[in-house]
Amino acid sequence: MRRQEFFVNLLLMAVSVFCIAYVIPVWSPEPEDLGLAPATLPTLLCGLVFVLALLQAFKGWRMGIDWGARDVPISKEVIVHLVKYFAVMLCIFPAWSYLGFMGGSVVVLFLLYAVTGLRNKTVTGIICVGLPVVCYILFRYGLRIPMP
Amino acid sequence: MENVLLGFMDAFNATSLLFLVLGVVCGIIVGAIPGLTGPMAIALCIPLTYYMSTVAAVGFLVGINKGGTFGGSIASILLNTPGSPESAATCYDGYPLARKGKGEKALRISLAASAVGDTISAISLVVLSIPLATLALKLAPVDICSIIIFSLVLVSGLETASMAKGLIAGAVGMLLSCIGMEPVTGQSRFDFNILELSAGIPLMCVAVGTLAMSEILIQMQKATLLEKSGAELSLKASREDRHVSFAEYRSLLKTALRASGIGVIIGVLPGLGATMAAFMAYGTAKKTSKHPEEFGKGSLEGIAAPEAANNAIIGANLVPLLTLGIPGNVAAAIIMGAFIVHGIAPGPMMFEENPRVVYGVYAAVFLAGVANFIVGSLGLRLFIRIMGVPKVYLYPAVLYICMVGSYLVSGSTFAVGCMLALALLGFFMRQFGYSFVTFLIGFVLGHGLELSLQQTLIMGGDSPAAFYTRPLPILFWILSVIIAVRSYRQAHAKQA
Repeated sequence: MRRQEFFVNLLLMAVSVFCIAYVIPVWSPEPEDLGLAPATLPTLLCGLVFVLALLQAFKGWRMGIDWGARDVPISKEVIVHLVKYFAVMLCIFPAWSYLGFMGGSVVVLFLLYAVTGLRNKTVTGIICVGLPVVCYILFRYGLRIPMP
Repeated sequence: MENVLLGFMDAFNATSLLFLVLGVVCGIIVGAIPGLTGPMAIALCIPLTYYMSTVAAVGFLVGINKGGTFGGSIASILLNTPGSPESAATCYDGYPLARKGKGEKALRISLAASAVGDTISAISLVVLSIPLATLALKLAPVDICSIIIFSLVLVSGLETASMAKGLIAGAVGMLLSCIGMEPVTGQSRFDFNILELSAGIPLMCVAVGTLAMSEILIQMQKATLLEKSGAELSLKASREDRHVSFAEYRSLLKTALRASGIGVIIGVLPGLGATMAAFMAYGTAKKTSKHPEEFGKGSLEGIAAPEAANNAIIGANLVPLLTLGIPGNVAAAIIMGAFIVHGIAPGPMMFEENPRVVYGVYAAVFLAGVANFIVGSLGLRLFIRIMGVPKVYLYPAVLYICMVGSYLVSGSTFAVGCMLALALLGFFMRQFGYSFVTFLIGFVLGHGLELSLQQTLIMGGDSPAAFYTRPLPILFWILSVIIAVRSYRQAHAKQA
């Protein structure tokens, strides 16, 4: 077992305990007289996750953990990749709020293409403007959905 | 009889037919592009179905699924890269044929075999679902509960190398489904004082985030984004090398029918999936062939068998969905979401309460097969040209469509945030080998499990005796344990 997989199991166990100890009791309604209490199934599910994660972690510990593994599921490159795309995608919230659907979409799409590394500016321009226009016409006038 | 006619009218009206054809076209295009799959396209297209009738919506989604399955074979045959996992077996004989300049012939055989698979699966849907639904009406909530748990164990054991990881994914999916209203009392649970969460996390956000966006993010890590696909048909090929003769069609019919049978059997069982059906059908075709030595070198039977089997899955997968309300795979889980959006709960009661919709769905499944054959035949060359678009143009656009699609769910940016968070979860799940299929099926079945548990306890006056006194639950508990032990042993043997 690689160290990241071992830590994932520890994280699953920690989250399960946090849910059982805090989230489920605080955010569940009071039980009715008959039948399953609203907190029962979530507690059972968290318990199941805890037990399975514990078993996996124990199995990994017994078989030996490769602390220095280079081939890890989440490398630095993967984190940079995720941060890059999520930073751009999160821009959709302020962009739609301040620039409206069309303006915000054009900006975010352009940024997405920029981080992907597109070289052809004409094609990028056509897609960045064309796609939001098509979406807007389809949803606003075709399906009559209020757009941001 | 009146319901049959009304259902067929719903399926045959111009709008439904238009959406059905549109679904097939979308499906073939998406399926043909390696990395994009039919279920991903289904997830992205769910918001469009909100404004359709139920039959048109299901026809549209089934059309995408059928088109996606055939589209997957285009990439398998011309590029030796499966467009979707279920088309992997088609590579063995499709690509050698394409290298001999017979790519078009291979694609036409794939299309004809898909049509046979589609027809057999549609017939099986009609033949199996009505008696099964009648039987399912006699099931008590405790039986439904044990079937749901059995399905989850089955899917967990088959979808991942580790049973524990599969079960964790399913449990996390179910936990997320607990957010929102409690099924019996209707009280809000885990809403964290956020108004949007009191209605629960929309299936659309879960499907788009874990299925589409996380996969695109993984694909975007690869360094092949700027490459063109290079797929093309040989223009110098003779007529004989491009077209399939009647005698060839006739000789392949038996193989296609046998493979369709395998597809139907596997499709009815939850979790086994189209990929397994395609490989099993390929293996059976090789064993029963008069020319097994040709397999792997461009055998026509080697294309017909997997393609008939993976298409036969689609209709058969709707059998457990319509009769028990249990989706057998991701596509069926998303189609179940479309039913729920339209106020219809799939399950045995649907046959009594909404027979018109049931017959409409039957007709739509038949029509989707026909549309797949016609659209595939007419647009083959066009689809191959579209496949050539470099992914660098495609993927950012798909990411954007994921965000717009999520916005349409509730008309608020909260759904977009939910989807992005679930995309991150889906990304990590894939990287660490936790099955997103089990997660999604767990999410869809969570509500039904809690409802059936509640009903069982209320009917038994808070006594759980029904869980260990009725024969059907006992049978499913035993089967679940057997599957769990077998999966554990298999995983252990692999590691050893």
